[in-house]
Amino acid sequence: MSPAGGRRGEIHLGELISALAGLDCDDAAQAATIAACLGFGLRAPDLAATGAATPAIYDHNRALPPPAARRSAIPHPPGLALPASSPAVEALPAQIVPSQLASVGVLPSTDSSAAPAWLVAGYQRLASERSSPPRQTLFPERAARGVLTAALARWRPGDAGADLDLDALVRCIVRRRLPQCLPRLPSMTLDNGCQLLLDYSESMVPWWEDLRELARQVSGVLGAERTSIFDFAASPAGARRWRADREAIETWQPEPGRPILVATDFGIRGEPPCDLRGSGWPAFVDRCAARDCPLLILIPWSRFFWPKNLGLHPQLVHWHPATSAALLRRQRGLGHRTAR
Amino acid sequence: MSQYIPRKLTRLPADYCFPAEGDVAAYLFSEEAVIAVEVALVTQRPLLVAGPPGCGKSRLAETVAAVLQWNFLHQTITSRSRVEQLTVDVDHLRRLNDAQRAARPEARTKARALERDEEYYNPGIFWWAFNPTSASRRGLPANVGRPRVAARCGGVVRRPDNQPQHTVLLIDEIDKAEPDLPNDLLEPLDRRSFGLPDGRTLTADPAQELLTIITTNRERELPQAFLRRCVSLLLREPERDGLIAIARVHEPKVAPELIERIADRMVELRQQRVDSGQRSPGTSEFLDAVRTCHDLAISVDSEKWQQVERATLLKPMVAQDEPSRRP
Repeated sequence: MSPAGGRRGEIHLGELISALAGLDCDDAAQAATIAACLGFGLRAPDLAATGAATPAIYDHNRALPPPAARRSAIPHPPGLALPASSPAVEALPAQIVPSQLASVGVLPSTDSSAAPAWLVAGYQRLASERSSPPRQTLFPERAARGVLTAALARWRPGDAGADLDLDALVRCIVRRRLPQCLPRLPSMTLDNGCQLLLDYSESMVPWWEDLRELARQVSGVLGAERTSIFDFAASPAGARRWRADREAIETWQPEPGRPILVATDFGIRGEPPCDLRGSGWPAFVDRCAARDCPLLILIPWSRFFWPKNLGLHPQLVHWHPATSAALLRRQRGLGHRTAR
Repeated sequence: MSQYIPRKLTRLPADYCFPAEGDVAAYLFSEEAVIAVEVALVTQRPLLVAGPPGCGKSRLAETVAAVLQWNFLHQTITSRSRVEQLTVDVDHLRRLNDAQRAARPEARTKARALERDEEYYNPGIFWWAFNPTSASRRGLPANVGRPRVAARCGGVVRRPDNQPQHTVLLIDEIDKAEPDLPNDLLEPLDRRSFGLPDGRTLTADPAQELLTIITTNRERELPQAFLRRCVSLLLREPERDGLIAIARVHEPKVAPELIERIADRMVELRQQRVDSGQRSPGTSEFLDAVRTCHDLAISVDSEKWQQVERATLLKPMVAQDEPSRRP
């Protein structure tokens, strides 16, 4: 069996048969291992999943551990001492206040058979095991990789692409000029990763599942180490996340040059375009622009509902299954003169 | 399950422990790894090996090449890797330089190199694996003389010149690449051929066997089309007994008691790390701790152990580093 010259496509059942025959395997457990290597059976490893742990978000209610007591080596300076932050617990008096409540004695029997027929007859229990219909995510799995790559890729610094810019080179040569260095086409990279800010406010409840899916998709494309996931409910500037050790909460800060992807509905709730002046959004956008952070905002509502007064810095993208990588490249002006 | 008897890796001892041989260190195969390698050899599919850092993914490829007595080529992928680097790249800079030199009046008779594009082809590891003879000639036809600058390839050559050059090809850490690269590799992996810049297609010599091993730390997801073309193997971190067995193979001079104590400590640390959501130390780091304790005569009970543990297993600067602070 030589694969040379012909396209073999994906692994198929015939290859499992030829592997079992080629390895002359008659042990059931070994056969199961062989099948698993080829992606058949329940024991097949799921290599599509990333090995990283689930992003530590979505749990603001968890109580933080008390800060570790630090013993200062420097004695307190003399002067007025600050009052204690929490007053000392006062002991309750030993006296027991008499209660006005009296015992009701034995409760009457509640036999369900005594219920009227009309109450029981019309009652039908819904099947609890009914599976929910498959859910279509806002970025379908087949397209998410391309869309997120197009959305988050940045130019490599210093025109450091590898492919020659032949147009520029020919222009130099026909003018009988020798270029100081070979002109290269700029190329895109995802090396900078991104900060992902997810809006878990009440108006986003219909898309909470999509937010979780988006977090998984972004981590899958960029890598968990390059993805910092924060969530917020009111203002994006107040986005937070658990630290890696899950023992403390970290507040969002823009990192110079690192793309920021926000998934939000701006609290639209199907109303006409809202005015965001006075909200935290303009200040948030200014802060991102000041740190040279590309800002992409995914909005599950169509363009008609989008706010108009966010300035030119953020790129608003319709968070919708029809959004494609090509559309995003056009929107970002990446359609030509790139190495890829 | 009865122990699997290798059909292809016939030089592998019955205990799956391949002893050190030349530059290749000893390696303890798991049964799953042996079966996966043999399935990849039978089906002639690439073997995709996943697992945490330091669990022996890359060393698996190196050792398989030694067991099979095949040539070994490897390329570590970075975020700048492109498919052209793995197949064929054109050295435009050298060509431009040659063109300038040839344009001088006194050098017109020496412009031979400019007549052939192939002189500027830089063969990548796929070319070397598919057809090393052609790669060494940069694709120049047989009726033309040898290239002006001979092409060279790193790696380990074990096969005599007069025999087919069977090769184990390691593509290391593919998850570090930009997301498009795995899809770009589908053609060379699937068809065992790729296009040359002049329009010709270079196809693998059918007489030569090739085993491609691709490793991933699963930092990024790989495309489904790529995954469905690969035989897959997930190397897990060994349990206590596995750690002890690996350490005994790698460090036979170390006292078994010391290895067991460090293995116990390693198991405790792993559990603590998993509970706190932090990175667990890997097998290679465990071996570092064993070597350190042996060479510096440090026992697990001593005060110095805390420092060894911090330096080799805990690595607080790595474990507590904030990913968001990475450049």
